[in-house]
Amino acid sequence: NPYAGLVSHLRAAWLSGKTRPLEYRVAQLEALGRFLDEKKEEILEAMAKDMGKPPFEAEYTEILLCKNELHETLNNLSCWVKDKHVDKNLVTKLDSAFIRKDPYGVVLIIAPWNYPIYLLLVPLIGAIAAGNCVMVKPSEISKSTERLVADTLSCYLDKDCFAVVTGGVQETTRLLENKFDYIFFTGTPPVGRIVMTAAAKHLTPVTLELGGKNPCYVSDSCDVQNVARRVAWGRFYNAGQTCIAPDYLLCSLEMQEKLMPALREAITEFYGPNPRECPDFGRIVGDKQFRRVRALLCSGRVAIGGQTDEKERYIAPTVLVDVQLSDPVMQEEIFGPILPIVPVANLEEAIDIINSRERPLAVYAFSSNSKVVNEVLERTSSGGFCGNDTLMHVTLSSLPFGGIGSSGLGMYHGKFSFDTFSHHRGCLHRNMGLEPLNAPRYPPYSPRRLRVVRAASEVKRRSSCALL
Amino acid sequence: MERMQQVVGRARAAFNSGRCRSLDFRMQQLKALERMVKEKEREILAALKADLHKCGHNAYSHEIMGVLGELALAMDKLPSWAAPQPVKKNLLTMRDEAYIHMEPLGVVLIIGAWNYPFVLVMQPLIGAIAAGNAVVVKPSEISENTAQLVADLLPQYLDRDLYPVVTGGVPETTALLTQRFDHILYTGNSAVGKIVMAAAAKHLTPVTLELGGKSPCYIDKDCDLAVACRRITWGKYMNCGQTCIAPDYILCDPSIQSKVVEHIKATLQEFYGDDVKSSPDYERVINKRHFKRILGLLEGQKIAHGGETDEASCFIAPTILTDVSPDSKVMEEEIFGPVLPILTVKSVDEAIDYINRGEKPLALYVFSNNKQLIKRVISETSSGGVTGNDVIMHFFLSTLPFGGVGNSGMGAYHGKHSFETFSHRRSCLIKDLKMEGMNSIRYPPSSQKKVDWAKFFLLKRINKGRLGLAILTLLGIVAAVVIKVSFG
Repeated sequence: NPYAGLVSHLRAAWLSGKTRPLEYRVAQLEALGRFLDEKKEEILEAMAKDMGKPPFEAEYTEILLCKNELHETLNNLSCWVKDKHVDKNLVTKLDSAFIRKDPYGVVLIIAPWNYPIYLLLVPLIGAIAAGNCVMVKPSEISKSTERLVADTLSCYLDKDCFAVVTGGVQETTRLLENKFDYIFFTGTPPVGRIVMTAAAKHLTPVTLELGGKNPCYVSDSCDVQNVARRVAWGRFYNAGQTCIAPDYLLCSLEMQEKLMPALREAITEFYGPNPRECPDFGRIVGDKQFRRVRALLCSGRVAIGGQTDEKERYIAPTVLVDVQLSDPVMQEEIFGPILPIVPVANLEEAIDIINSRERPLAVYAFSSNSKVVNEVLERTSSGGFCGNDTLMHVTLSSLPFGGIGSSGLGMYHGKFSFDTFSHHRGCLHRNMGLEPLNAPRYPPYSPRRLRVVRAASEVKRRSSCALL
Repeated sequence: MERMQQVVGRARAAFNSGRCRSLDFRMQQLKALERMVKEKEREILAALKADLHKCGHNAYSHEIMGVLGELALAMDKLPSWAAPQPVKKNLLTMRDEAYIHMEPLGVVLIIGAWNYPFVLVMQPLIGAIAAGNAVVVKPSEISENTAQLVADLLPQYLDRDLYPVVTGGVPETTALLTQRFDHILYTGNSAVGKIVMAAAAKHLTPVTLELGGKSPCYIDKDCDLAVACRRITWGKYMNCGQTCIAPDYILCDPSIQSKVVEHIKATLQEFYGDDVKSSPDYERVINKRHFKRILGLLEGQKIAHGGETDEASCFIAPTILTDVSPDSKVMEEEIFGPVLPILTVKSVDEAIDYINRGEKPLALYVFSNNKQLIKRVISETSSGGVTGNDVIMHFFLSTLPFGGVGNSGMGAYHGKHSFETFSHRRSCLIKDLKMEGMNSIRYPPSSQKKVDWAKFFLLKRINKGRLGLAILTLLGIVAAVVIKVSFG
């Protein structure tokens, strides 16, 4: 077991109690902030090398959103770590009852390649804030960022309590043989299953941030240009390699027609007449992924884009129309800059299609009629939901971010990260005196004792007028 | 296998019909459950007596009372628990609607245990119904009378398709676990917990595992020993020691060991009289297999009190072991029986070290007049839950989450925690299709000006004060106008 030594080193640090004091956690978090500030250029450069990530996107998502989480955590941590006192019942009225947030111990975070700093740092912030020791495994697919994290991030953090491991599938499999006290995984559902199965051997709790095909319904009554802009932005951000990107569009044939010029205009507005030369449009991360996405182009009809260049791993911002549910592009999460449009007769059909598939990470609905947006929300199920925009719900850290069904289990962001990496321990601190009050619970029992017990514990229903 | 497929399939179809989503429907079902518990109290007490030799008082106060309390709480709070929860917004989302929408998960599986066979099936069921799910209930076959009663009663009171009961043993449970559920709550031991989680992993099903462990009980020299021992005796020997949060073993200074034994003996006398076997208030071990297992733990041990057994009736007297070695068999596994080992430790440090060397237990108990000491023990150890200066009682306060950590389990329930365990918290952000101006800063082509604006919006916090909010709103509107003019 090649990682046993490293894991027990972290465990020894954990048992020493080093990561528990608030000051220690704050110091580590502030060091993370310094990493983001001092190494900004290196981070932007690594992203550019890995997937041609536009500097604006890198700065916005990987630096700014991370700092947001960091500030939120640092501003509130002293409040979050406090024992949460709870309401008491009659029997415990004179006792102290509270929920203590205990760290789990040694936590493993496995990060993906598409937002390799953001999706590594945000869980790491939560794990550190909650007082854990952390082992981090960045993705081997985003090689430059992996190197940056392994060489540089570890210099900012306490080496006793934090470790970075690198490697591919084989190394991760060996790593998962070890016992961790929590595992946080971001990636695909098949690997999510492998991670959870490995965790089951040690009864390790997990959070799995997975994916799926995020549907985007556009009703006939809407501001077409604004819809086109918001959908195009969400779809083509990071060259489509976003777990919450709108994966496919559902709308009427009429709307499909209206959207074409609007989408064309939005794409040109964003990336110019030749997106290949635009510094604000990214590339696919690797050859294998490039070939997979390119194969999906033979679905429906290419209405916009469709150009590719294997050497650069460039796929143009593409819109496919008249796509059928049986087409290749509708069989898997696209994770590329292709937007298929599946024409539907009406809202009913759209909802049926959405509900016939695995529950996705996000559902999007566009309409100037709020009733339509609401209906899509009420009648579908997904990790999260955004009406009249794409992606934005994850930038608000007071909203929990997570999946359901095959798009994941658990959640994080903001305080939810802290709660995810804490064990919520129910504590009751009773009075040693007043022992006579306990008498009804002790044998020998008699009908009278039972009557006392019943009377003391009965929760009377408050009378309510209407049945809701 | 096919039967399981049909049962689960019917439950899923019933869930998809949408009828269990309305709050009215859920309240109806909860009310029906309440009626069932009240109307069939006698039958429930009889089943518990047949399974565990549980007397009416214990059966009522440990199983029925808790269920009625949970039902009353759920019915009272359901509207507020199920309501959308608005969240704090930032500058960018100021004009939008942002809230958490509480939704059911779908089809939930509840696997009960045999030691408190009624409450351990009913309490999760209440939470799952309240959260709007369909529920497949699998009571433990070992407590066969209660299992049969649950299978008979639920269909008489609840929607038959939505809340089916599946009975059977290991083969039936294994078949059930191959089906896809949207949450599984399992109460039982860690070995089977691993099997349940592995089966759940195939479908990426979230789980709540209420397992067990050896719940330590530290008695400080500085405490009212008589009171402490009375409370410990109550918690240890209730249900013949077959309680997941029973104090499993005692840690104390050698100087007080014999006093502890004396006090417990005196309390046992007070509780059960001279002849425990004829006390109607003392339960029995569930079956011969567990009887033999517990008997095996006594081998080679110094029995300070008790030790009498009768295999025919699965009776084991309340037993105390002294000067127990940490390496003995009785210290290796969860006892789950009326045997109380006492290990001597010279200090609270030694106690904490010993506790931390073992797996994290479901409960931890510490008795002391010294508040600081209790705080220290809590802070330097980990466990599912804690009661200081008593045992068991944290279970009965439903505002505390009840669950394990590490080997003793994952997830929690009781009260509102049940509702949250069986719900999906779906984030919702509803924006305006207009006001596109604000969005311009995020669209390409990028520029330093856009980066600066993004920083302004993202890194600004909304102050608590109304004045701060007003100023920020004004700032936001001004910013929106300026952006529309520069980039629009």
